[in-house]
Amino acid sequence: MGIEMKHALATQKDNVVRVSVPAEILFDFKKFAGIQKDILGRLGCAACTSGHDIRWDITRNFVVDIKGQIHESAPRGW
Amino acid sequence: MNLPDLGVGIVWLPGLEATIASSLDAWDLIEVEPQAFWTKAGARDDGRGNEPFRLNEGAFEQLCAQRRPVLVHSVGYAVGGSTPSDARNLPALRATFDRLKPAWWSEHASLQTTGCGEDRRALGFLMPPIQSRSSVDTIVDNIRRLQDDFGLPFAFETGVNYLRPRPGELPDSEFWGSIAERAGCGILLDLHNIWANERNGRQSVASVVEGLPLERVWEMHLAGGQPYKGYWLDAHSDLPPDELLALARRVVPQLPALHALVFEIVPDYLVHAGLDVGDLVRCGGVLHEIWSLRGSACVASSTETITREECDVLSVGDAALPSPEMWGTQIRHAVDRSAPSVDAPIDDPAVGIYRDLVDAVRMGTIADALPLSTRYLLLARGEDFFKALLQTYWSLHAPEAFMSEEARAFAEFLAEKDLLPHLDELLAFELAAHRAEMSGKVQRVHFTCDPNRFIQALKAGRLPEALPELEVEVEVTPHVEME
Repeated sequence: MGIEMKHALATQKDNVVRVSVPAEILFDFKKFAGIQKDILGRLGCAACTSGHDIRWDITRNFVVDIKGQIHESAPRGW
Repeated sequence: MNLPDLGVGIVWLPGLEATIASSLDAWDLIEVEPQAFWTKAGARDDGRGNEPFRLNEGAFEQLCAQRRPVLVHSVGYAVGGSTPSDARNLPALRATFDRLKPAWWSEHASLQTTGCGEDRRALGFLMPPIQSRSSVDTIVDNIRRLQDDFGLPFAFETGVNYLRPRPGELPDSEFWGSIAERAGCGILLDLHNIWANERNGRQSVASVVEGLPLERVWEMHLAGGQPYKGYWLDAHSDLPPDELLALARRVVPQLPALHALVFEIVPDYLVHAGLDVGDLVRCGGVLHEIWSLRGSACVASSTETITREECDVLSVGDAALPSPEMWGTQIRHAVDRSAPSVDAPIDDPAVGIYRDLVDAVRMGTIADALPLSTRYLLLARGEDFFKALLQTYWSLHAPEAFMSEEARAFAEFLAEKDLLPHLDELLAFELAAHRAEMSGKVQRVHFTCDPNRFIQALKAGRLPEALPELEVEVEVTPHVEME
C-alpha cells in the first residue's frame, strides 16, 4: 500500500501540492512485524509482562537484515 | 464469594485478536487488559493535558463479538504503592465494567507510579512493593477503596519479584495472604510469577501455596518465560513449559475456589516463538485437562485468618524497612534514569535487570509507535547513535504510561535537534497519524519534499535517494469513525 498523491485535494496553488493520506499507512508493516495491530493498538498501555520487550529487537533485526548484515534472532543479553 | 466457574481462557491484547478468534473453541473465557484498548480522549488535538481516557469502541465490539465471558485484568491502576494511581483510570474502568460485565476483575499488587500531583511519575514497569506491615496496610486500603468504588469482586495478582528478600520483609505467602484476608478479596495466583520467583531465589512455589489462604485463589495465570543474565523472566514469551504445567497439576487440585485458568502471551512473542493456531488449540486442551483437576485434593487450609495483631507479630522487622513512600522513591531511583539520587539506593543485583527491562519497554514503545522515524534514524545513523539518543532522552524524561505519550515526548525531544533532513516533518506526520486515530479528526502536516518517495523508501527498509524540494500539505485522515 503506497501513499497515492493522485488524491490531491486541490490543484497546485502557490506551488503547494495537497494530498490526503490515511493514518494507517503508518503501520502497514505486516510483513515486518508479523502480526496485525492497528494504530490504536500501538498507543495504549503496553501488555502486562515482567519480561523483556521484544519490539525493539524486531525493528533492529529488520534493519540489520535489510542492510545485509548478520541477523540476530535472539534479543541481546541471551 | 459466589462466583461462576468460567473455565479456561486466554489474554486478549492488540495483535492477538485474529489468532484467538481462530482458536476460539479452545477457550471458555477471554481476559482483556483494558488499558491496551484505551486512548487519551483527544479533547485537545495535540493530545496534551489530562484528558480522560476513552475506550476504543471498535476493539470492544470485536471483543464482545467473540461471545465469551470476559474478565478484566487491569494494567494501569496497580494497588501496591502509596501513591494514588492516575484517577483517570476510574471512569474508564467503570465504562469498561459497564460494557463487559465481568464476574470479577484484577490488578497487580505492584508499583506503577511514584509521587503525587505534578510530581507523579510512571515507573514504566510493574515493580515489587516492599513486603512490610505498613505496605500491607497501604495495599489493603487501596483495595478497599476500589471495592467501594466499583462494588465488584476484586482479586490482586501475585507479582514477580526479581529482588532478593530483604531482612525483615514478610515472606511472599504471608504478605499476599495478609492482604487477601484483611481486604476480603481474591487472589490471582500467577503460577509463572511465583515459579520465576523460586527460580530467582525467593520462596518456593510449594511453600507459597502452603502459606496462602487457598480458598481465596479465584484465578490462576500460566505463561512462558525466558532466561536473561542468570534470571528467569516472566516474559509471556512462549507456551507454558512442561515443568510449569506439572506444577499446575499439583497445585490446581488444592484450590477449592478456582474459577478461571488463563494463559498469557505477548502478541509479538507469538510470532517470534513460531506459534500458530494449532499450538494455541493444543495449549487450551492441556489447560482444560488441568482445569478438570481443580479442588480434587482439597484439605482444610492451614492458614487461618490473619488479624492485624498477627500481622504485627509477623512483621517485627518493619522498623528496619523503608516506608512504602520511601520504597517508592527508592524504586524510582533504581529504574528511572531521570530520577534524582536518594540517600539509600536499593542494593540488589536485580536493579540492573529492572533497568534493562524498563529500557527495553521504552525502546519497544518508540519503535512500535514511531516506526518510520525509528527506521530512518537506524538506517541513517546506526544503532549506537540511536541508543545514545535514547540514553540522553531517558536522562531527561521519566517513562510515560501510555505509548502515545512516550512517543510524543520522544518526538519532541528529537524535533529540537537538527539530526537528519526532513526528520522533523516525518515525526510530525507520525504524531498526526496518532492524533487522527485518537480524535477521529483529520490532521494536517507539511512536507518540503515528496512524502510518497520518502515514506515508501523507509517502508522498504532503505534510505530515500535525493528528495527534490517540494511543498506538500498532507491531510492525514482517520480510518475509523469516532463517536
